[in-house]
Amino acid sequence: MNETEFAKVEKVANQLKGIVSEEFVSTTLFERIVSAEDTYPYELREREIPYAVVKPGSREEISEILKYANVEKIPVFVRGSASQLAGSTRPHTHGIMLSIDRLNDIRIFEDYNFFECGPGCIVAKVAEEVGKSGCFLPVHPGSRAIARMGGTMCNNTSAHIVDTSIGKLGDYVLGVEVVLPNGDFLETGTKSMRRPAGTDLTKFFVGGDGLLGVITKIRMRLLPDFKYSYAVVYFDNVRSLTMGVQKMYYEKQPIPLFMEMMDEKTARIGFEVKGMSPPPGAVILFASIGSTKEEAKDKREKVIQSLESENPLGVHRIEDVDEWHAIMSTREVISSFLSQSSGMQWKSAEVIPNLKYLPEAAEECEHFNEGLPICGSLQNYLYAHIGAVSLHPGILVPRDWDGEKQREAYTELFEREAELTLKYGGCGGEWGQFSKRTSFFIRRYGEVGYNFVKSIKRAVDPNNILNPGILEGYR
Amino acid sequence: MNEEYSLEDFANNLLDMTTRCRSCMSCYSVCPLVESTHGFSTQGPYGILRSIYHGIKRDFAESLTVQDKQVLRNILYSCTTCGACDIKCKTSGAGVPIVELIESGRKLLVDEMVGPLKNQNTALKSIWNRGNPYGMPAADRLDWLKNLSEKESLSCKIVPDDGEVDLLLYVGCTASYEKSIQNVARSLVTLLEHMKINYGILKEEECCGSPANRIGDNQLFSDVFYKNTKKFVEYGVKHIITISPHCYNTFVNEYPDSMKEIKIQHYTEFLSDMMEDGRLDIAKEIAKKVTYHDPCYLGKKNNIYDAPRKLLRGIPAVNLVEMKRNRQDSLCCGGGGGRMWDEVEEVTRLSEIRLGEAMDADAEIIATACPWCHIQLHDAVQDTNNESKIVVKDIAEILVEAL
Ligand SMILES: Cc1cc2nc3c(=O)[nH]c(=O)nc-3n(C[C@H](O)[C@H](O)[C@H](O)COP(=O)(O)OP(=O)(O)OC[C@H]3O[C@@H](n4cnc5c(N)ncnc54)[C@H](O)[C@@H]3O)c2cc1C
Repeated sequence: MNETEFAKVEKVANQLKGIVSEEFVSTTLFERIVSAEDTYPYELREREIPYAVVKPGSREEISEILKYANVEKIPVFVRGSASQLAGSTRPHTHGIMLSIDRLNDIRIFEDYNFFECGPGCIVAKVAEEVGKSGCFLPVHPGSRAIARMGGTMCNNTSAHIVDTSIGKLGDYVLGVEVVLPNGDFLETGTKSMRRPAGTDLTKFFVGGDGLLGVITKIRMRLLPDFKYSYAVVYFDNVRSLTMGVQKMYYEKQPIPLFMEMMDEKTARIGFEVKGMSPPPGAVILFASIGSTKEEAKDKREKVIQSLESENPLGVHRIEDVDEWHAIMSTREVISSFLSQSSGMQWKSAEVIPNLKYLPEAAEECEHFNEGLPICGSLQNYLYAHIGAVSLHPGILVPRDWDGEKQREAYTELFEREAELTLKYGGCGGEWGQFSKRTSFFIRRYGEVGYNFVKSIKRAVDPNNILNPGILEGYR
Repeated sequence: MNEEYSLEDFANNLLDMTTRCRSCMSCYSVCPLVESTHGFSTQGPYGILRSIYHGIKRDFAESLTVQDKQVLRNILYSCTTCGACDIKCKTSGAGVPIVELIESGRKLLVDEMVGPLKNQNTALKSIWNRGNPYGMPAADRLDWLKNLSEKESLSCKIVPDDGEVDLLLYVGCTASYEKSIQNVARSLVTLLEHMKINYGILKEEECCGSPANRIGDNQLFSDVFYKNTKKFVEYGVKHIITISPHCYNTFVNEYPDSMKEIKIQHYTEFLSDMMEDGRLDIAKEIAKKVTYHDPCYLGKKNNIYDAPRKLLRGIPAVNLVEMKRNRQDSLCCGGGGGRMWDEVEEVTRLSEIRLGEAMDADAEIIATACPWCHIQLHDAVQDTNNESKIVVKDIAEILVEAL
């Protein structure tokens, strides 16, 4: 760090310590670097290292920080757990790293039928808390043990949950409290059960990619938990498997809450790791829901009926929840096991095709990286939140590639993801719309769409203080 | 570090190993540091690993200031080495041996004379000079036995003077010197006497070297290891039981092959075998609600979860209740990783969080099987004024009460 930067760090830290108690401000070199890193393995550039990391404990403190940042024109980057997979928490320039993890209260209001939580709450903890009231949290990412509600809201992801079954996370959000980039407070939405008709300010923030304000409180409707019924269905190949899923939709069957798939190669790995005998082919795992066990079973049978029209190799019905968790874990261990056994970095992409061309898209994803200049020869695996028609081809990227090559490799994979998603008419369903996906956004929605978002951003945040770079795609 | 394998090679290897991490951050979900600090990124396993990575790279590039190095030292020495992250990384991450890498990072810092923390240094010096980290005279090591031997005639042999034994009780430094823990050693003796075992203790027992390894002093560890193994072999030791899980772990996992000929058990394993054979017969009832706190070096590191519980269940009328986090998920007490020797920043003490969990389980006794957990938890009980509600006891002590 040169002297000017050192002075800047001192100055910013002193200001922050005037707003937030000293112990919640860190300027150590290591904290500044690590807090700005994300799930990508390549290093930060020197100019990307924040001046300071701050952990405000209230919306008032956040407001003060944003006001100060506006005066000094210092970018503020908001950080949950930095597990977002499109690079949104990685800064592209010096600034203030604002961690929201101290805002982690959760309160359940049974009499209002909603709960409120801070953006710093860990998703799994919230699920556990609402679970105590017999309720279900409609978001279930693989990262739930570390992902926070704020980051998850910004992406509006329901993750492994099939959107067409119970809707997306945002459908349950009654309102949020936000600090706008200029430091103003805003409360959106309602405390009633009926969500606003017409302009709903909540929508600017839930699924807002962290562009327009810092979410400081989230209010969500309580959703009673379900009764479940499970099944595993094996197919000869990915085409017949995906055609079975199409049938499920075409025949208007009740869509399961969870419906995952793995191609045969991937499934074999998962089953082997978990000590189960190898599956005969590609695998679908699904969980149907109802308000009674009978209803859940009945719905499961209807789904099986549609899948059976594609002549599966076998159907295994599961009643025992432990067995279900065991079989689901075959899917959940894939990325971790492959990283361990290969010593490489796992990277998955997200291709969201339309329903009509799902089989073609899935087949293309089986060869996702074929022909790519950098990643073309790497191993490819396929799993999917298939009920949500969301495909995750995964690649193993060598660790010994240098930082620049890795950056290029990941850009190449995002470009390929964009190409396929464009071809099949979808858009990112899990990791937000910008950062490494900005070029996709522009291609998908045109300059008009992009300028539309930019003009909203400019109106709300004229100094581009809050999370700059996400919209621009600098990450 | 030998000459063929230079410090730079060591650092490069460490650098390479840290890049295996796939940054899924899962490790934060189980790390006790995250719970007991403000939870800055560097106060969790991923952040510590990345700090090692950046520290080495920047050191190679000569861009680290003295202050940076001190910060790095504080980051590395904050870890309790409980191993929760290793387990998590195996199931959800890239299988990085995180604690091993953190300990390697500490070795580098010691080699560069940046580590360890001040009081840890004093502990290490004391191991060099006195064979224990507490600065106590080596000659006082057997004082704990005096009370007992004055009262009754013991069959306990002093090795090697009294000849060979079937079983060596390796008392360890804490149970030898810490007044509050000496009773655990005496309880073990009472139990061994009761079972009429041909056993003994070393006349000149010395530290097993665990603190040296945790803190990163390779040389000291080699020295201690050499002395200890030499003694064990010379005295024809066939079977050792340890009081501390830390000594157990060191003998089993960190002493190379020369110890492989010797059967090593934690005392809870040995007693549980004896209970099964009917040699340890427990007659008296203890009608109390007891919860068992799994010491990390017994549970997470060595998968010993059942033997201690079997012993407690074997006591008539004991109502064994589990804390919310138990076995592999149990929360570290905060005493491992060299943290016994120096103050490490804690916003909420781990031992107090753990005590809270025991009280939530309505327990009247927290049973444990590790001297350091015992001290940590006992302090937490005292500092929170809960002495009238709950007590901390070692399993050996509870067994003696029930004899
Ligand atoms: C192993 C692994 C598995 C994953 N599995 C899934 C999955 O199954 N499905 C899925 O959808 N995603 C998944 N993800 C991605 C990721 O976990 C989610 O996107 C998660 O919701 C992000 O939460 P976070 O707390 O890490 O947010 P961060 O990454 O910290 O933040 C995400 C974005 O939100 C902004 N932000 C955060 N909090 C606020 C706030 N309070 N106000 C304003 N802006 C804010 C940040 O600036 C950033 O732009 C996975 C990631 C990993 C590493």
